[in-house]
Amino acid sequence: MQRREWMQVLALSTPDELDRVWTGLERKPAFAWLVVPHFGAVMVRARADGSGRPFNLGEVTVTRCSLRLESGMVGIACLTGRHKRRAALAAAFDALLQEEGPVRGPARRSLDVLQGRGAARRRALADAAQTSRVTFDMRIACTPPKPPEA
Amino acid sequence: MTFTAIRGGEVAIAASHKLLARKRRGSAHVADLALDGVEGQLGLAVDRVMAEGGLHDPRLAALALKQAQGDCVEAAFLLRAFRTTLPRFGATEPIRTDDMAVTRRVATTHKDVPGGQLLGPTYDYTHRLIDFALLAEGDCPDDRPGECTPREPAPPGTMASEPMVRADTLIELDLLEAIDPGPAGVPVADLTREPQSLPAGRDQRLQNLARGDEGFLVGLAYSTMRGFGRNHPFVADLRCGVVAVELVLPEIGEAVVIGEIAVTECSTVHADLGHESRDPKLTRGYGLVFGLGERKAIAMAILDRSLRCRELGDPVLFPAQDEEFVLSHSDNVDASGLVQHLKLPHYVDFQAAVLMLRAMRTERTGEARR
Repeated sequence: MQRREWMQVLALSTPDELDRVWTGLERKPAFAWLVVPHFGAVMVRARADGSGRPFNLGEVTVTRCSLRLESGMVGIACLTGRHKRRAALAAAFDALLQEEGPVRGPARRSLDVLQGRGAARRRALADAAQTSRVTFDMRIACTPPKPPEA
Repeated sequence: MTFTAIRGGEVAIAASHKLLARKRRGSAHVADLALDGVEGQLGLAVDRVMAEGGLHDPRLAALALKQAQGDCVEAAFLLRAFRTTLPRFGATEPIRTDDMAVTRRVATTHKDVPGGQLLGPTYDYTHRLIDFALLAEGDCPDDRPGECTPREPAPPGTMASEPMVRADTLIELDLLEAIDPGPAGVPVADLTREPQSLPAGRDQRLQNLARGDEGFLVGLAYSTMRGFGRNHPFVADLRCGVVAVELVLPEIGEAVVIGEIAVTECSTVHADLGHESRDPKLTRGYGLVFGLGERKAIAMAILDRSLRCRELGDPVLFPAQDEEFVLSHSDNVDASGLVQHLKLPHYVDFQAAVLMLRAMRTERTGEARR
């Protein structure tokens, strides 16, 4: 799994979900802050007509931080919203996942759990939306012209 | 315009703050309004504050609403003020609304659109009768969330996996204006950094409208539909949902998903009757706002199109076609600031006006005597 892929899974997890897998880790790593969690904003760009010229839609708040594990591995996080603990946990998992490499260790297993929960959450939302799927029929009321009388 | 420094009133202002805090808190016999309740149960107000505040942060918008006693314009002002205190970490990659996880989708130009139509949580088909069941404490039995079941259950995932193709792609290409992705690397106008400049590019116009006042936008869009600058809109595609936000992180050197945001998107097509040098065709309008805000997204799309008169070589005859008029007056923080400053003391200005009127009267009587 690429780093950007696990960062996506971490970014799309809720603070509760991250907290739960963190609590589930048997060994919590010791770490030192490189940059303590802090708030900022990024400008969200969109495209006119969905795929046309870019424009600035508005800003979104973000929380950023970076930390170093005892092993020297550096983890970073930059997540939407203002939630310092969430960013800290995401950065810790980022470092742990790099440390584990291809080995399927506890961090990777936590990530699998997060991925599963996220997918289930999205599926539930999509399924709920599908319950209101509609097909509108349009019937035009008109009387057919009478055939000319012979 | 001249401004006069005002002094005094510190004690009264401090007392006013106390009265405001008491008014905001309401009766001490009623539990304090929990932010979770505002965010979760007054979601449309929260979304409006995010859109007009120009900052996506539902928690903060809920707090601003609580602080402003539900006044959306005041809350948007609080959010705008807060965002100026945040360091800017850059701009995201353009969001891909084609990949939106959709909670509602309406397409009105074609009966069968790929991906189908999803009504989602809408007031459109309600009876608009006050629901006295909501007076009762707790959930009302028919209204508990998470208990919807499809009438015709489909195999899991089959309906949701059908690609939700934009309805405008069903229109014959020769009849519909093409989408211009523009050249890469061109700077994008940013109203939070540079003041408005006219004539405005579409980037500046869309940013302005996206954070513009909903009431102003809806009123102006309505005026075009009533004949003051008619431009025949059809809602080709209206979607509410969440999209992933990607930012290039310098530490990694590539774009990474940093979270998701709620948006409402509206694409309109407009019958353009053309003139001597232009064939009749369908032109486009586009609306995109933070959160659930379809009334505003539709109005934004209509105005985006009506403000293209100059570009399309049509005469500018009505307010909704005049970009200086629309773009200069859409911002409710600006508008409310100037309108509400009238409550400040204007003793000196008023005396000047009185003196001027007296002088004019005297001059007039003098002239009459001569």
